Amino acid sequence: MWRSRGYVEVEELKQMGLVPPPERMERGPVAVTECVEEIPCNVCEAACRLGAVSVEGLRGRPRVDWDRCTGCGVCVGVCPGQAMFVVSLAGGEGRVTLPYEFLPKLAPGMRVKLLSRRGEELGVGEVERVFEVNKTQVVTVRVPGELVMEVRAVWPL
Amino acid sequence: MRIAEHPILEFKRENPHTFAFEGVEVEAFEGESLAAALWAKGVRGLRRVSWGVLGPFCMIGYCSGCLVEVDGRRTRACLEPSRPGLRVGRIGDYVPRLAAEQPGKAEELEVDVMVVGSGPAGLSAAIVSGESGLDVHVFERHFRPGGQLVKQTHKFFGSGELFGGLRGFQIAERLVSRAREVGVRIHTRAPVLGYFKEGFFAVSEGERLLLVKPRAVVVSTGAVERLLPFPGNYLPGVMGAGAAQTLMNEYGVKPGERAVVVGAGNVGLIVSYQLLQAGVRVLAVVEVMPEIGGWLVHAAKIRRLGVPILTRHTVVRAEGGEQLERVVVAAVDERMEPVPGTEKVFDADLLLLSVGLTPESRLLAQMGARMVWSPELGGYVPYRSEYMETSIPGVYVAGDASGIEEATTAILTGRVAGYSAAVRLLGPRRDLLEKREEALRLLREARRTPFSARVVRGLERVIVRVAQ
Ligand code: FES
Repeated sequence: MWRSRGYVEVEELKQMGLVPPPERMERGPVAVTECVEEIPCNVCEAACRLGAVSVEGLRGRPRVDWDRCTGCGVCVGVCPGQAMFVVSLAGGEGRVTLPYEFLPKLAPGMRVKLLSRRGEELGVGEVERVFEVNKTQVVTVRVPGELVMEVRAVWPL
Repeated sequence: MRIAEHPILEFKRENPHTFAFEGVEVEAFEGESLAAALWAKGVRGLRRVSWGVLGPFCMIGYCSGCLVEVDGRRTRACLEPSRPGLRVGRIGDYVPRLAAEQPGKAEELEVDVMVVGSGPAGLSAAIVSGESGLDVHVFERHFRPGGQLVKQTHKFFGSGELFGGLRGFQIAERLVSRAREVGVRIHTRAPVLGYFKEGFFAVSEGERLLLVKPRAVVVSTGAVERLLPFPGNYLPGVMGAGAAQTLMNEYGVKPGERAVVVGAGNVGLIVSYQLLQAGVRVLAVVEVMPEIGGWLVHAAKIRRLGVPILTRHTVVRAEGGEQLERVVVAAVDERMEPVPGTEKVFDADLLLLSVGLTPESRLLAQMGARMVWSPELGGYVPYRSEYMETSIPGVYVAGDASGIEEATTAILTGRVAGYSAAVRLLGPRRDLLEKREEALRLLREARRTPFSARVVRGLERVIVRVAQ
């Protein structure tokens, strides 16, 4: 159960219908929410200018409309729970966009450790793009395609 | 040690100077507490008692682990701002001197609304009553306003109008500047000593004694962190989670190098993440319950960085000489008793306790407000109406002092209390009543989460419905 583990497994996310199908990831970046408890928060919904994220009331799980979402990553930067990610398999290449709030600040070209939800090292990836939302760095990192739903943090090498 | 660079915070560090501690020079900056500067210097134990050495536990003026003598006066080092040339020393066998009589020194101050405590609840109450045109005075015993929001670096949940997405210290900045904008007077270093039945509050502000006569009062005195009983819990290096936040997030002082955190509620999870941001290694989070108490997202943030959360574990003892050196934890059985043979030893110089808070409601009790013990709300709290009025007419309560919740509900109960005070003094104006209803609506919304179920149960027993 996730409440004793401290994280959700991909299988559980799939059962909750939160994982976009591979075809959608191949078409380009798309947001994945891993916010599965009913937190009284709708910061993601308010930040999405495309109206692609909806939260029922101020609470409830956010849902991403995979057709509207362009994977811009703004929700990744604003989410107070750091539970928003963007994944992509476009062009047969894996990419994950995730929040990062540590030092050193990351920049394109830097190589970083890839970490799973459990903190295991999954290899090394290259930072491709970085922007900042209220001091949170939103970092897009290249990862092996099969790891787009596994890599959830990066750490400086 | 001071944190040179932080991913979120910038530390101003203006006007460097020194003071003397036991004859040794200690470097400090303007706006730093003596306790923070001493910790940065590596001084851990501040008080010698017959059975050991004590250090700071709370960093906000409650535990007295930081009692020192400053220029011959006994004071709490965590509430004392550093100034050049201070002479600070350990207290010996302290015998308080009789205060010299200073006839005629008390000053009277008549105010519309008196707010006690400048955290999110108090400032919110002050803002809404200030906006209504009332003369509002906030009294804060610390030397800076903002309460415990000041040391919160994470982004808050919520909607836009409740500061959702902003970081705690950013919310504090907004509340303080809004309060000043609407003419609220914030008195810092001004502890409220007590209420006198002649109808005034005694407040010590600097060298003067103020006798404050308010027409309405909001008590928003917050909460105190709980201590856990285990051998060695007094060792310097064992402290409340909030104390570590004060050190690293407010003053940029590293609380330790290697930490163990007790309690996987939101506070424990959030502080663990903040420790990592401050460059402290988190060896483990220990939780006695079979499940994590806080939001999953907060747990996930530290799990993915490799921090283990040991559920069904407890701390059995802390070891060390003059300060913490080791933490021993063990698994617990169904009766929550440690299981022999399951001990794990961590070489840690920091042990943070995040095992809950207790409402700080002593002022209300002293005033004679009817109090009730509520396990769901964390301790003794005053009975109150849904408009936050206590059993004493014109005296309101808000924030954690009314029951342990979190910053959003503190802001909202503060608004409700502030509007209630305004309604009392200005009459039942439609705009005030409507705004108060809106705050109550947001409050109900914020409490509609599975985690609020316990609080809501507690509230049912302490809210006295009144016909308005
Ligand atoms: S009173 Fe200063 S640390 Fe507790």
